[in-house]
Amino acid sequence: MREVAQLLNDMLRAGVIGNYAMFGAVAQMRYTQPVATLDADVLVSPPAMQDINVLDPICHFCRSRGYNPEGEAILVGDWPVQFIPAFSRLTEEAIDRAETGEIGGLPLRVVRADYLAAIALSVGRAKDFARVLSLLEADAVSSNDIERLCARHDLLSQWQQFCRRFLDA
Amino acid sequence: MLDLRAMLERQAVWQRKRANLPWETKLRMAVILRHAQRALHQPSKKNKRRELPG
Repeated sequence: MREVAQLLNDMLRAGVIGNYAMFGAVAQMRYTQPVATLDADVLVSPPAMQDINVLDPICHFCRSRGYNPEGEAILVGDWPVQFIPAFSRLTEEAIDRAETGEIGGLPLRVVRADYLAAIALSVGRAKDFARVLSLLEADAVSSNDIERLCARHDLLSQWQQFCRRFLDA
Repeated sequence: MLDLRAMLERQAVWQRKRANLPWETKLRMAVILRHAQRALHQPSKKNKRRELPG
């Protein structure tokens, strides 16, 4: 993961991306027990005043560093890395308000637990619900935090449905 | 007879402790898990020999 952190920070310095934050299972593991995952997901935003297509410059930059595509991802050391452009106001905010962790002495930006839960609710697959439950169980986030964030991002009905299915005993 | 409830409580405490490991350590564990999963899905040499024609 140190190689991933190095690459992302270099990409940021070179202006290839405007910002980034790890999300998905890699981000979840900052707050919960380790979980099995095939790849590392990174939310990316384009540099200001630039083309909305951020993926082509990313692929080009990775190739120039000797990292090549493997299916939908780019293999960086041990990790297939999947770059996902911010796809909603929620994910844009998740990047802006990300925390900075440390891997092998390098900074690595990571989505906060409350945003991770709200993004998972917005996607709504079984594994996303499991992620929200893990974050709650690890006390990484409170129900109130999630509810507040969901209210701001038009996700209250998804949150209430989740509560009925999984939390209301 | 096993005290199942006590055992599950001990297990829960142990699992919570794993959540407190450093992020870097947990990511290394995830890589090991992924390699183990791949190894499980690869056919063994013994099975490969059986698949050979003739």
